[in-house]
Amino acid sequence: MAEPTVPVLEVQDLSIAYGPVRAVDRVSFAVGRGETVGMVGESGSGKSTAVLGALRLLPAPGRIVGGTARLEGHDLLALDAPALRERWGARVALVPQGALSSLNPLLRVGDHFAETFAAHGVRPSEGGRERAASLLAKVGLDPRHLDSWPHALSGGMRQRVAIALGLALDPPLLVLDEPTTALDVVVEREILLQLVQLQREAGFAMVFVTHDLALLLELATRVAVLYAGRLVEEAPAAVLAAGGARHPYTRGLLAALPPAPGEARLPVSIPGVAANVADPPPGCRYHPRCPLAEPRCSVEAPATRGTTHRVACHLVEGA
Amino acid sequence: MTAPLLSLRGIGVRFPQGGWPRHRFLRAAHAVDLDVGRGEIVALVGESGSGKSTLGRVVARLQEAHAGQLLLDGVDVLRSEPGGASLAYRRRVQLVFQDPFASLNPVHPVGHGVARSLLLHGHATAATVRERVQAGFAAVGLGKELVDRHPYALSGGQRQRVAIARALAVEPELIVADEPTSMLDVSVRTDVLRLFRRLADAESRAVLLVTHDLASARLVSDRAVVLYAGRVMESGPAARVLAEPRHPYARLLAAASRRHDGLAAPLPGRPGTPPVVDPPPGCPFAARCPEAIPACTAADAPVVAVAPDHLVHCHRAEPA
Amino acid sequence: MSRGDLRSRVGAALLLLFVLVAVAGPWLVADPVALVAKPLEPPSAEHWLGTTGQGQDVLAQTVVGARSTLLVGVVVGILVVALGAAIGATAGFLGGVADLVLGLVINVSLVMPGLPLMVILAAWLPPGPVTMALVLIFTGWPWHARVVRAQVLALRNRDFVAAAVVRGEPTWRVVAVEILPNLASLLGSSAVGATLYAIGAQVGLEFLGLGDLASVSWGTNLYWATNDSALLVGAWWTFVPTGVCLALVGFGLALLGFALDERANPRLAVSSSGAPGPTPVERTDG
Repeated sequence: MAEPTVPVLEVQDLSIAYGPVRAVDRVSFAVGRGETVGMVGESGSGKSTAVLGALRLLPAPGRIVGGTARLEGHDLLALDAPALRERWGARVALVPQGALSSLNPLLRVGDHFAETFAAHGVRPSEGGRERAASLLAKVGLDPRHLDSWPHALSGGMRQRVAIALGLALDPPLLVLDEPTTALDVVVEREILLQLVQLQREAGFAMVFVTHDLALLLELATRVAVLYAGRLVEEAPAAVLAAGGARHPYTRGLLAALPPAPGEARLPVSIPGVAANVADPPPGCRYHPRCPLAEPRCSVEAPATRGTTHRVACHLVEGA
Repeated sequence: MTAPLLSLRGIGVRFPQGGWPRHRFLRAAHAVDLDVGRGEIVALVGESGSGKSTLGRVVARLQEAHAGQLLLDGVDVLRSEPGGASLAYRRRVQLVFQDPFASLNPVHPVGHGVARSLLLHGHATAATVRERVQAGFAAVGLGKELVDRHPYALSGGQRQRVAIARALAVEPELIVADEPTSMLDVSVRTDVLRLFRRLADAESRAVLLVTHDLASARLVSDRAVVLYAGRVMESGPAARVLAEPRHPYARLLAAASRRHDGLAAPLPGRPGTPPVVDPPPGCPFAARCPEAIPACTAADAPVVAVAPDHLVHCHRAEPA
Repeated sequence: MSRGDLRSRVGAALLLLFVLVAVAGPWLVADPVALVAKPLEPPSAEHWLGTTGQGQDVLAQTVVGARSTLLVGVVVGILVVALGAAIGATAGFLGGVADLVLGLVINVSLVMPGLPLMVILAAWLPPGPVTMALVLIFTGWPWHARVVRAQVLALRNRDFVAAAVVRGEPTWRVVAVEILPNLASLLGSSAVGATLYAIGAQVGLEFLGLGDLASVSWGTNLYWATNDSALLVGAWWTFVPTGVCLALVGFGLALLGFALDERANPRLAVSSSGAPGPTPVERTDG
């Protein structure tokens, strides 16, 4: 790689609470230019909450209780609403979970683009419609759909519209929150192939939130694994794919994945029940389900160690 | 070779679109033939619009079929019980729903459904029911202290086990499992799937596993049936149909389901949605198929036996 | 405590007060129909709320009247909801022809003008509490039938209902044991609203002279007060106490109703957070 550059997004010790419950506890991660960072976790992991909170897009009653989130060097947690609005859409765009609810049913597709352009000072005369048409084509949709209503489009098509809207202002960072979870596997694959190609062409960085770890091993540069609101491991995807996962939870997740055709492994479930962030186990939140747990694990929360391969575990080293 | 426990022959399901007079239909299933043997797990595989859930509900007799036969032990129940399923049928065929959060009544403790099933079918009396419910919970790996808890206090995996315990309470011969793991965390799915395998192997209960997840299907199924636009595309041993399919749609599905190709290769098939409303003649996949020939849009695909128990519904398939 | 809690406590307290008055009060006051003093005497030490145009004790009449009014009100409130829920749930769950027929009955009943119908029925039938109850139930049930039908239609397609059908539950049990308990908050708030309606309509009819004039109730109190030209002579004590009691009972029922409505539909609860905007930052970490 060339000389080190400022990361597009740098989140440090971010903590988010809903009332008395700490849904996200001191999570740190960074996204470099052109990189794809995958945030993976199961129910209650806080993966969506952490990312949306960092962008100040988390709905009430969530509130940020600690940490920093620097977008291109500026701490989003210290900015006021007008400064945030300048950045939302233009410097970072969100493709939310469930495109059905993110598209306004009273507006045609083309109007959604017009709204976005208008909010950022792009005048209608400056070729907004052409740009919108070319964006639709880029995500694999017929540009005639600019005049379609959201309810007339299938789930996959709506998701493509949401991605096109995200890219409308050419942001350096695109954040996708479970974009394909509700879609059929063939449509999902088509959209992901399109997304990878778009990233190659435009060079934006991506944060991809999902529960599908196998997908991230193919798609992401780095993967951050969350459990019960805490980061447990953060490493290059290639390392994890090659069997280099260190944290027992990550190893458990990988062991639970269905085997590849020809792979002679039987998947194994992780015993126990996912930790409840409202009433988490003391110390390391994973210890009740961990095969390596020692007495220390139920008393003291582990620190995150390592630089290029970070792990939060008393018994395993980072790198 | 014993006769199958359950057979579907030429099953068709359609939903009228629009008001009177009813002439436009959404064809959810058409000319479907399917067999499930005793103690066998058959995966019914497809995406949205494939008709797999509809067929599952037809077998559970929650949905009416307008054509075809539904044979349980050789008796067509659509003719012998036209007004709806008898209690006897309900004892033999049960259903596990997809959404563990929606399939348990929020106002009742989770043991309620199991208790009711036992009492309705005479498997317990008021005196013995509590103990039998606890035994039912234990059989699916749940602690008996959960019997009186309400659904909100249980995790998704636990709720799904309760749903399975409820289905098992009547000691059914066939369980229709409608996407039983799709709403569960990946780390707990295998245990639920293994439970079905155990039920099939140790207790000879057949399972019709409705799913879009080929990997889960491959893990536990004996045979698989691939559906598209309400029609069977391919059926046969799970190992072959799901890992080395012969039908172009099944190949597309298998290619899209793999998670190990690095997102490089394009998919073998054009984008599109299954034609279910007033569909045109011929094979429903023809518009997207990379191997389509003129015959594909002219006439329905023939059923070709590429092996004695492996059928492919395709104009391009070569018989054994 | 939250707003909802405060409201339901105040409402419940008010109603409890009046229930106590209705139950125990009559033993503590004089005979309401006895002529005890000169007519239209203002409040005094002997007769705390004065006397009516006939010379009867107003306090006694107010206290005793509570019993009849509240009893009919509560009984009608519950029966109206029960009847409406039974019809509405049947229509909603069975669907098809049954829903078409019952739906027609519900809609026609809703459209019929309620007040004129009540007046006609009350005038035509022999006066008494049973007549009053029948009239109110006959005109009040369609609204609740419609509301319950809509909710049952929504719940009918839920998986837990299908699960009950699949295990072989008879239809009546599916409706009564699986569906209706999920509507408990709705039915509760409907019963409170129906009681409010029953009391108001009852008092209205009696005020018009269509109730049982020989009985003592808040409505007949008001009837006699106007009949004896109380307003003309400025004898406010003959109708203001009854009016205040009615207002307080109505207020209590309304408060209780709001609290139950919020439980039935949590989205009605006014949230404390303000307009949508960026996620707030309230640092508590070091």
